[in-house]
Amino acid sequence: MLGPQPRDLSENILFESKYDILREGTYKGSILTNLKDNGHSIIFSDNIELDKDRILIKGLKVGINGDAATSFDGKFTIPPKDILYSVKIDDQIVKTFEQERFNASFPFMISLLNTHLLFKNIAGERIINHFNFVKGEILNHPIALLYNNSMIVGDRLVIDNLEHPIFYDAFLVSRKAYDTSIQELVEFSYEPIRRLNVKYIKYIIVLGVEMFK
Amino acid sequence: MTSIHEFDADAKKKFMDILSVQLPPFDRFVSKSELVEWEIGVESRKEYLNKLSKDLKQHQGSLLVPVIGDVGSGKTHFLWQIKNSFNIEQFASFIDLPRSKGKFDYNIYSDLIEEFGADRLRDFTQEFGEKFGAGERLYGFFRTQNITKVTLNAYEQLNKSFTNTSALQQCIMVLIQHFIKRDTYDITERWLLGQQLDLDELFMISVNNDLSTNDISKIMLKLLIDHYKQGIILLFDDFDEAIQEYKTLSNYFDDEDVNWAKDLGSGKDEYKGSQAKTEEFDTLEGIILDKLKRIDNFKLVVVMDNQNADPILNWFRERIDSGKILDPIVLKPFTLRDTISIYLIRMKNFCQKYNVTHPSIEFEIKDRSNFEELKYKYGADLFYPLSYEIIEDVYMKYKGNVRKIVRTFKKIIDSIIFEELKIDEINTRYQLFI
Repeated sequence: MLGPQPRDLSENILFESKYDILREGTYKGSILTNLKDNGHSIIFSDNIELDKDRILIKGLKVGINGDAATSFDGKFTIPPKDILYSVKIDDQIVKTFEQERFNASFPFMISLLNTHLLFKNIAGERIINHFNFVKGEILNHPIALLYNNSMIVGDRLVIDNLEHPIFYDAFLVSRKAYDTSIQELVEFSYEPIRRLNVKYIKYIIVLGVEMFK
Repeated sequence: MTSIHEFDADAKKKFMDILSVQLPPFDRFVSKSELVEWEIGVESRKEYLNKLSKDLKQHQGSLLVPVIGDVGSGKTHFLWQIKNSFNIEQFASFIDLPRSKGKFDYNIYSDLIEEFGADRLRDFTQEFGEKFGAGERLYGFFRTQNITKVTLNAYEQLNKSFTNTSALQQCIMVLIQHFIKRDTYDITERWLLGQQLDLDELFMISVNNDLSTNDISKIMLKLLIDHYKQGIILLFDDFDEAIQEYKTLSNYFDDEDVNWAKDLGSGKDEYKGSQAKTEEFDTLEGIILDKLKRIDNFKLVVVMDNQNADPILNWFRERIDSGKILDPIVLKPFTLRDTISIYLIRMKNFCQKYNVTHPSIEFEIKDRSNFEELKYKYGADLFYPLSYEIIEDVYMKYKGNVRKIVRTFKKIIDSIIFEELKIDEINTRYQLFI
């Protein structure tokens, strides 16, 4: 095959319901877990313990409850059947993400004090769209869950004139929706700028700074 | 540009035409700390640099490095070589004698931070912040936004070394904010770069004073030098002259807006445990001694004339551990090889700057065989418009004194430019100009 070979990231997949992968043990680092619950929750954590009966995660759980966003920090014990996937993000990507976050070129950003739901479009539920309210502003700490259960964690978010979100300094965890091999199932990428068509987004939540104190 | 192999009569004429109208290669024969120099060092000076680099790698903590030489022996030029050297890991910065005694630390800090620049400052505040908990990744991804927590952590670890804890707190607060808080980044950067801020700006970053306050600049100098990972070396030119000049300086502050009642009394015992005698603070040696003792990683290269060095060095030797003062680097006169090198390097730089052909363009100082090859290839043309004999004669006459040698080269070249000497009579009449 010509060109660069796709990197095998299967070792970064700690849990994957689609392929019954469960790597037992304790893992540290930057770990993202997507749950199968009604709130479509995501857990950000630096520590996860996996065994076949239960998964123990210490971190920040973000999701939705009706028309509002929720965020809790603590220890969560979750049975494996309630988890969609759990991945450890490449250190290099997290480092790049961090470096750019301290870029001072955009000093005037809006950091919300509490976590808020900016957009929601989930089948069978009421659509929430506050894009108009924040147009022209730069919002800090956006996260988005997409329809194929991929995730975007950005440093900044701007809504463009066609009402599509643009994520700045973001990393993307993409999970292929179609059948594929485990090696190709997940991809991580760092994206300095990422514009997304709003129709592919389940929700966008803006994290409040109270969570980081 | 014509090939070097064709350094024929036409090429020589073109070279002389350019030489007559452009800034000549030997125009600068005195090195100054204020004027940037990029000229690479000659072989004998590289040995000193290698030794210094080795000493700096081995030594932990504060260090005084005396550099001694005669007038015109290239002492300041050697400081520039330290500054530009790739072998010396530390960031090197020139410092000057302040305009008044009261603002010593502020002036030193200003000189240092001006060269340090905003990019390094950013790296420094990141290193500093991470050391005290700003590097912690919450939930594996997010940096803390809790400035108070990180500031308090830094303060608890650092306050044992300082008496003015309020000033220390302000310095730490600004350093941490510069790293974490983007909306006040511009203000904290200006504060750290030593600019004066108005009251509203100070309020926005939760501090009361800027660096013009003596205690603040004193603490910032220590924090910067002690916590910058790469290390910092300060370069003090003409230290012996500065010692004399310092005695004539005013005791007072320059700025109109200084709080006289408060600031005049402060500044002498900022670091805890400082019991230096008052008279020691009235001398430049005393202040430098205090820095060597109180700042953990204070590295200073001081340059002195041969004749003044001994009493100054003895004064320091009596007061600090022998481990904190290096044996002086005594700059010897240039060798003939150094003299030839400086001639060819200057010619090469001139030709590269004005895009003109000359055999010196092929000269490489690092390669000893290169000179012999060029001599064989170009013969007398290598030294055009002078000759090997003239260079040797100048070297012998001035016994390797760099300044006199370069000045004499300038005189001879000027005599050609101003037609006091024809090019074909240079070998017979050059002695009129040396």
